Amino acid sequence: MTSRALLSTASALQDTHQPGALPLDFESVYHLYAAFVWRSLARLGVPSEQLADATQDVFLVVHRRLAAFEGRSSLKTWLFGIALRVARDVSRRARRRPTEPLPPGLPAASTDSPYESALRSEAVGLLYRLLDQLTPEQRAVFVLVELEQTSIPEAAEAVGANVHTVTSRLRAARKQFEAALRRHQMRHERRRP
Amino acid sequence: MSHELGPDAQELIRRALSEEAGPSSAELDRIRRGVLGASLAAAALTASTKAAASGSWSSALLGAKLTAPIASAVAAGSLIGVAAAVASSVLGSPAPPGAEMQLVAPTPAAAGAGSRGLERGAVPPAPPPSAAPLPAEPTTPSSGPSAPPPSSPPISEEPQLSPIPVESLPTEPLAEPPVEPVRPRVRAPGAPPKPTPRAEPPRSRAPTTGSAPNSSAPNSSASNSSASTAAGGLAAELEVLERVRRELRAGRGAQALALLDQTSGGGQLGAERLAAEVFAACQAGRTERARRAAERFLRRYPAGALAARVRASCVELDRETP
Repeated sequence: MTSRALLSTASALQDTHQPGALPLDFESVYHLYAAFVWRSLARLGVPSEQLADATQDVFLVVHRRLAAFEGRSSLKTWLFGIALRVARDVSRRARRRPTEPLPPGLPAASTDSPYESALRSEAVGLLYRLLDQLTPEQRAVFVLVELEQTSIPEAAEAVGANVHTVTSRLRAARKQFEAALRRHQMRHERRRP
Repeated sequence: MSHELGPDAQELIRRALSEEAGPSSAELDRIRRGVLGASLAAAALTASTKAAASGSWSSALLGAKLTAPIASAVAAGSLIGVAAAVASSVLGSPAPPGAEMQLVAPTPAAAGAGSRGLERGAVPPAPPPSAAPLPAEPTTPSSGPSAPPPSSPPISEEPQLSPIPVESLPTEPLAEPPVEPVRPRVRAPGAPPKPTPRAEPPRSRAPTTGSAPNSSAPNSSASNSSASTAAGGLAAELEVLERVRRELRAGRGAQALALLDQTSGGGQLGAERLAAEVFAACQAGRTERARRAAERFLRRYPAGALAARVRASCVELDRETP
């Protein structure tokens, strides 16, 4: 697809795809939302070394089901819902296959490679660590609302819960996030000379 | 909202979002090619039996061969591509006129190419894909004990490849996101195994070339990680559908049905599995079960090539059924 065609299609794809609007084509959706899906998966806790595979899993579903997408929700919300399921799948597999203990003498490694760790900024690293303190349900809602600026009803649609439940999860997630941030700040303060 | 984020939290989020890195363009391109490769494989195999659509479903299976994209996916060691291929070969559906499907063994070049396990299906960098052999990596189908290596359909020696434009490929609209992982299709320890029509040792996916990767061969941890991510549930689904396919090809619908009963559904190939149940029940003469399965299938997946085949099966559905 040429960039011009992509842009023209892109305008039809922004957020809510109206029923009867231009048919969605996979290439446009991919180009517009692949980075969003990747970041969403990272924010939902998919380890960096599995982000590529998980993104591919999301778009395999997208490729298969795009024709059935009716535009009742925003495309972004729909994609996030798929990403959420894939992230849960990754998490389940990780629990099912516990990491083998390292041979004695080897230091425990983080999930990031040294290169990735170097690239990742302090703020991003801290954000992800704080997100790790939330439950998966809280995390999904928090990511949608606080990081993606999604409305509560849309977030409810993405996570498959009602608005009241999502509101409650968001409130709890915010408290949890703030508390985790305060703990981090206190530790940081204590380390200062 | 009674509780809003404080200024420190908001500032942290603002900074993090401005610094958050996304995937590189090369990474995005690899992912895209992997998705399209797997989808091409599924579409080509879905198309494989349309050529035989005038005959019975079983005869369509017998005549089904694979086209270039499938061959490329197999050559790439593409788990998803092969899974989709096998699943589709069980179910079959319309093919472009004259499309003859041929599964080819991976060429040494293809088997030796590639750098990582991400490209579970492989297509050329930009659509429409060309017929050229695709760079791909020999991946191990599964590193876990619960996911046996998928079997492959018989492999021919004729790599006659023909391109299929991505844009022309059918998609299978599904009503439910099929991303729920499939539990490994293994029996509980100690549980008596149900009788299977024949015990076949697991076959390697590409047994015809010496350079083809061995599933048990040691590999880099990176490619093992990539392959195993996709391998677990999908490999198990693949195994079941391949066994079902063999039973149906042999005219043993009852055994195919028993195989489906022994295993749980709900995976990424849910539509194919449910359609297989319809066809197996038809072949076993269990029309009532076939009808129920067909109704269930058409409620969930009312459109697409598989729906057409389900409607054309032995069941007689009410006109109201979508």
